[in-house]
Amino acid sequence: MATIGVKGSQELARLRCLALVAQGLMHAQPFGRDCREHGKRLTISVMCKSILFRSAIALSWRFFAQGRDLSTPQC
Amino acid sequence: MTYQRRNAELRRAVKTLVNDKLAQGSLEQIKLTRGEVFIVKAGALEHPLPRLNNRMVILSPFDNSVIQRERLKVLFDYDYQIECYVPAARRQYGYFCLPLLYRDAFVGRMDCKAHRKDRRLKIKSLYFEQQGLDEDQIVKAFIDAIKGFCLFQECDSVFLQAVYPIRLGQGLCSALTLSIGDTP
Repeated sequence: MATIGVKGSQELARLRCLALVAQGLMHAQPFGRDCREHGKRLTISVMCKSILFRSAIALSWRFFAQGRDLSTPQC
Repeated sequence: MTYQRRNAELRRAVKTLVNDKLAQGSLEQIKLTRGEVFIVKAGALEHPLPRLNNRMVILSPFDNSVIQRERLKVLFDYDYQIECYVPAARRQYGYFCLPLLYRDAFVGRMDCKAHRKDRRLKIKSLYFEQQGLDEDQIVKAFIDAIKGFCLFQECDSVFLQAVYPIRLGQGLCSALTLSIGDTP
């Protein structure tokens, strides 16, 4: 198995960051983990994107469907 | 991973699994110059890391990031031990010191007590240990952190008893007075 020697302080700093990320402390909210907060933000962001995407689809559908009879196949 | 787990079977199983993954190359060993070995996901050191946050975090003494004393010493150059189990005469920092994390470094510790009846937070001693960091930034981050901490502890005022290095005392006291709104 390969062992990588850490030579510089830069690598040690990265290792520190990894340790903090693993503990959920890199973007930590005060007094706790940010997972829940981050999860909330992510959910809201996904919801907003989803609403925007649906609205865009609906608007473009209306725009392109205007004046056409959608019940019959188009030639 | 199996730190302080007494289940020998579990420890053996985890060791075997880790060795297998090391052999497969999905994990790799990182050896520090002082000889300590850490195991990380392969290529983890090459991945971009999250941006460092300028906020200070007041941690619990039982936080997972500080319970492994040796690892903490090696990685962060920070010697931390909760001293409520240490006889009073041998305590160095205080009964219930909380570690202070700023960016990617443990910059100090704070021994405090919340007096719930008076809604008053007493900081018995506050230590800033890291050299070479911008003290103004650290003080600012600490003030922000302590404001949130007071809310969390339902305290309206802060009393700062001792701070090390002493030169930070005056600035901290006036900043706390302005921020929390009471005379420290």
